[in-house]
Amino acid sequence: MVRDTAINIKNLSFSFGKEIILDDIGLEIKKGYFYSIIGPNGSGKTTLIKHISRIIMPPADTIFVQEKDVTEYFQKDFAKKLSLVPQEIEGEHDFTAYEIVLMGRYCHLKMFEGETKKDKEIALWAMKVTNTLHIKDKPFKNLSGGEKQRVIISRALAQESDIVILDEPISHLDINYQIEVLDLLLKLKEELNITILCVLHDLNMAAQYSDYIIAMKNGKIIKIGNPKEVINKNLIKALFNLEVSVFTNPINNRPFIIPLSKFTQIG
Amino acid sequence: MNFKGGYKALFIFSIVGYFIAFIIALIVGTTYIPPIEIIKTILGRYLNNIKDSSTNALIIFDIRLPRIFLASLVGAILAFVGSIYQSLFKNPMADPFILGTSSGAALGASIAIVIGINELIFGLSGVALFAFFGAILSTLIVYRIGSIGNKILNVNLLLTGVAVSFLLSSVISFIMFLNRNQVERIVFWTLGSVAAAKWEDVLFLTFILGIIFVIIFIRYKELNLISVGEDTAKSLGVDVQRVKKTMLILTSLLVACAVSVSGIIGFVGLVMPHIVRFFVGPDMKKCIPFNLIWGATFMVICDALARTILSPAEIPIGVITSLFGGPYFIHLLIKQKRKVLW
Repeated sequence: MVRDTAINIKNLSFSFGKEIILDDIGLEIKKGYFYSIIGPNGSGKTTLIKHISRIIMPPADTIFVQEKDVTEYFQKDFAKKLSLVPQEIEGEHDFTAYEIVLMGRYCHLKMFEGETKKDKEIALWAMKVTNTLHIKDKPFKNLSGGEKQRVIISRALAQESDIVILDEPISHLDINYQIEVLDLLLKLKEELNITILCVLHDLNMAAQYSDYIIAMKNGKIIKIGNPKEVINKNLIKALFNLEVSVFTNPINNRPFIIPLSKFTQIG
Repeated sequence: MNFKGGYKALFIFSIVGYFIAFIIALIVGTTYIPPIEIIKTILGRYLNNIKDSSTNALIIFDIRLPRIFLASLVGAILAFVGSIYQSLFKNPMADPFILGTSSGAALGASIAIVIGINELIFGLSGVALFAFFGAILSTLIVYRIGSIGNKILNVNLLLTGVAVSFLLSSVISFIMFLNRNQVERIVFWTLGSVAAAKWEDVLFLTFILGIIFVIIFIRYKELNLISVGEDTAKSLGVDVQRVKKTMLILTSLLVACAVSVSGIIGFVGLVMPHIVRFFVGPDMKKCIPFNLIWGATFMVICDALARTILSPAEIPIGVITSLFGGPYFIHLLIKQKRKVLW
């Protein structure tokens, strides 16, 4: 089965003053797969994502989404292709959870047109999928961190884009919601053929859920491949300067790591 | 506070409230005109075409009506622009004068007063004209310094506004120091007044508010999204910089027009948007109409008070707006605090 390219990045560099944040990034994201980006703090993961999602406008001829230079998209058309769940969620407003999700429909509205019944149905569907329907009329700012995260994911779903990019979507969540969110992303990939690109701090989660893992350090992609190729002792040592033991998860045959403490050698 | 589904009723109620305020403002003043007289005079002019030149007719048509209309328009404009700025900048302290508009207008007016331009230019007084250009000029300077390339940076813009305001205010103080005999006129102008209202002002402001209101109101969705966050709005498909630029240019123009005929009337543009949000929530589709009508009503009431409390003397309207609006706003803040705590 031929799968085409969702995102293609060529020679992308970015520096802030003298500090190089992204160093000649080249990357191809295939349509319909689950990609995670791993790497230590300050490795450029979030900056890369901000460029792909045009929060920081990249130079022309560096990033292509569905074969088209991202700098050539109209803002609304781009939002139909790619949705973003940012790391920092803005909560200084009085909108309800449902109103926030409905905002995801903006890119599908014609100019000066209000939301139709269909838009409202899609927003409700998106909330049902993330299990947030029961809090739909609550003010967004009163929700817990996990609830906020799931509402924002609903908003991204309401955009009905082919690509969903998430910056650390599970870092504020309880373990059950972490699994729930990642299962949801997997389901979106399987059932709707949505491409997922997701920054994850939890290496084990990345290993269990991803089709491909992108390892970044110092603004460079140092390795890209399936979890077995990327999650190994040497690479983790190179990325995080951490000793680990790598096992195989007996349920799904994927790699599973256990960090080794420098002080307590038990057993 | 919640009026689920009852916004329409609340809005109709607000319009009725405005008309009551309007009629009371027509009756009261230095001379009391009985309601019957007012109805007779107005009907007489418009239905029976009677050329009535009695004192009452003079007061109603040449003084009170234009004045009440002007107060309504200025109140509506200030509350409207204040609500736009508060969502655009995500800053609860933003008011219509935050871009240096007021100090620019005041400087223009002071210069006109000091060099004594009293003749009318295009039907506008020299003071109004100078105030208008002062407002536009200072806003342009603030805008220019506050934006980098094509990008408008909120913090830069607001800080530049504050800095330019202080700078211009000290120039005004210096002018007053050099022209002590004109100090009273300058101070009176800066405190704001709609006493000198003319029908031309009313028509002009109605026209420009009408146009700019339509252009902005059809973009209420973009305003809502930007009020959540600029990056969020961008990723949801809003061309943030373009919307911001359009809004800033149009609102600055509107404020400059209002300020040039009424002077600097504080408080309304800062506080009315908060009061509206408290009652109808954050959706700009609801906020904008309510700001217009409540801003107008509030200003009509304040103007009526300004000319009756110490009659025949007149208190500057800017004094009244803060004196009567302030305590109510503090009451709302305390109430909101209680709601959060208990």
